[in-house]
Amino acid sequence: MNFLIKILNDEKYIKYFLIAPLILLLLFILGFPSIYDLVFSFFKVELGSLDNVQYNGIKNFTEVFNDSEFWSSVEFSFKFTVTAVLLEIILGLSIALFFFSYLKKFKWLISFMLLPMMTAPALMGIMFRLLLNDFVGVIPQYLSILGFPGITFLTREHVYKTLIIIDIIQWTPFVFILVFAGLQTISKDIIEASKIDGANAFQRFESIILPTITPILVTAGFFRFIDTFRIFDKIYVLTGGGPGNYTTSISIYIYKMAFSYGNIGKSIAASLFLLLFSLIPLYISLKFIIRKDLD
Amino acid sequence: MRKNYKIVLLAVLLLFVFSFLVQGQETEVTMLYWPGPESEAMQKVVDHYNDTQGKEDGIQVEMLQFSRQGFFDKQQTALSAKTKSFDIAFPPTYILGRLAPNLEPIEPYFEKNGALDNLDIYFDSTLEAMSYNDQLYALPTDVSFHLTFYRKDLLNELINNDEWTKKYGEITEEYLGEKLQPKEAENWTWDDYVGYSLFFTKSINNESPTRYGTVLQLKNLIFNVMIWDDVLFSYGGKIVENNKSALNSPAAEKALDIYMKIINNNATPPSSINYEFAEANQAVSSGQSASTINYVAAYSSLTSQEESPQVYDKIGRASVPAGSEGNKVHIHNLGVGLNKHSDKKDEASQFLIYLATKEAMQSYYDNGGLPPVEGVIDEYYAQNIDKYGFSEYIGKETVPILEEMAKYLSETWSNQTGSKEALEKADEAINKLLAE
Repeated sequence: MNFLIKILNDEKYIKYFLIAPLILLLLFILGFPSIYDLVFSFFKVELGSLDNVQYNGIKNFTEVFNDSEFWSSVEFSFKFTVTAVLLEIILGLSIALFFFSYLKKFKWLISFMLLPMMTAPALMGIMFRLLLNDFVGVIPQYLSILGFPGITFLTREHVYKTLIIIDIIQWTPFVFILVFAGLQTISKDIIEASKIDGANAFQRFESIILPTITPILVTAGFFRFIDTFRIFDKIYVLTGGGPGNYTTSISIYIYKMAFSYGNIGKSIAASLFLLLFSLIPLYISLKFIIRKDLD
Repeated sequence: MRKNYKIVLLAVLLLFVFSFLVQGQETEVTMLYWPGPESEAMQKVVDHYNDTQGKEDGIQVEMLQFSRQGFFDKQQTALSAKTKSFDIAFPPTYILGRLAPNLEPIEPYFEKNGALDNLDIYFDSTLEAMSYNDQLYALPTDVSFHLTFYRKDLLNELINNDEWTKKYGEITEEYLGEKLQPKEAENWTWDDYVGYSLFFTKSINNESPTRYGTVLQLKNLIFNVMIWDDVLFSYGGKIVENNKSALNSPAAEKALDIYMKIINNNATPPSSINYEFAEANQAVSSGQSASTINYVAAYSSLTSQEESPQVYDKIGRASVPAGSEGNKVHIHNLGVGLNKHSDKKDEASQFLIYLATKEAMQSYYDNGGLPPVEGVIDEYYAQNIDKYGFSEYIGKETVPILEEMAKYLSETWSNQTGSKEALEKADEAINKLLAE
């Protein structure tokens, strides 16, 4: 007991005690399932017979590696992510820049702008399923009035663009709020000084604003990349991954492999590949941010 | 003070012991169900049992509900983990093969209690749909099958209006190669259904009062494949035979041809490629589509004045159309079975025996359920189930097989691939699944 009190009073050790509960929780919630998953990725595990697992080496990994559907889902996830994230960053940055001074005055407007972000992705999918309905959906009705009748948003022709737009609607506010917060850290004096020196808007953006918010954009881009790459809810609700496997993301592939096909081992192997793919943008982002800090 | 404290402690201890004694007189059986109209109906049956026969049996039934979203995945996971948290499971036909290792066949319990005859109240096809490897694993509580829902006002006009009949003949001759006469929906073949769909499509017949003649459900979903299976089986097709894929066949090509005639002639909305139950209903109830083939549950919403004000009094129902082998309609059930890992299987089976009575099933039906029991269920439904009902292959691989079919069929339906190619790929995928 005395020893414990001595430790708690020692600044060198108190930090470990303070984070110990969180570390234990994370080990339990994340660590244990991760190790369990890693082990079972080398076993044949079926949903209907979890107590009858058989070691099969790297067979799960080779099956995933050789599965054209897996690579098709990776391709879809990658293309979808790059397109959506780029557009969200451009839009989020643009909105923050153009409306900055206005929103500083009327901060309460920001709450409304953040509403799409507060909606659960699955609910977003359900909402748009109704909004885009050919017969009772509001969007086709108004487009028809404006002279654009008969647009079928969820056919093969348009479904990819529709999904991108829905993701942009939901997550641009995330980029916006980060950039908006970043813009507030830029000193007004520097901006004033640059105006006096004759810098135009583009020059001020290029030399002052952009360098300041670049780490924020990279961070936002990283978070959005990870989140979008593993997209599931919206797409599953709207298209089920179809037609065929046209809109099957890697998460939908993993889900179907586990629960529709009952092949848990293979789905774990696929999810480990997903983890590996996710480490790449993490590495790039961290390198960039650390280098910026050193500068 | 000390004495009062002792008296209070004694009283609490006595209450505690008493509560155990009281509990010990009745066994609590937990039944898993999913929330919705089915559980509301079943709760009434459970309450009645608990108040009456349950007291005699010394059993009280409690319902446990998982959320509807992902319900079967959660149930499967719980059963695979050998849960004892529920004694009665809620298996549907299409995953019965996968759940069977964790379920107990129920017939031995009925036999032990001299109640085997109770099972006679159910239609044979529905008991088959709850059987795997010749063992009955669950009682069917809600039957699901398909009907054709059409606009009876429009069909009447078509039959009785000479101008319309003439035009109908012209359209069917042009698109189907045969001049057809309109007939009552109950006597339709698939060609009649296609003819009706084409006639009531505005882009083909600009006098059509509806935009589309029908609405197909083409989303990449196993429940939509089950509707297509009606066409397949009506032409003598099969999915699995002798543990090998039998999908790639002339019957399947014909069945796909029926669908593609409708799709390629825009007799179904282009967005049908992402439609399922709700969207198909919407298309008909908004007056935009003149028919659909949908699950029987659609009828109540299509004929509800509140939900379908434009068409509620104009909707007719008919059996799904006939192919060369007659009318065939897919059946699947929701049901109740015994959790193999439960310690109260004997007690739980008592409740199942009670459920397998006309009285219990009548109560279930009266409160919103759809039990496949003759004399209880709507007579029209009973005829369809009895005469036309079939189940696809029931095995461990049923859902993966239907998933592969959904994937390749929806590729064809969206004109990504040709019918022959889709059937060959599906055939190969099914054989691979069966070989594993």
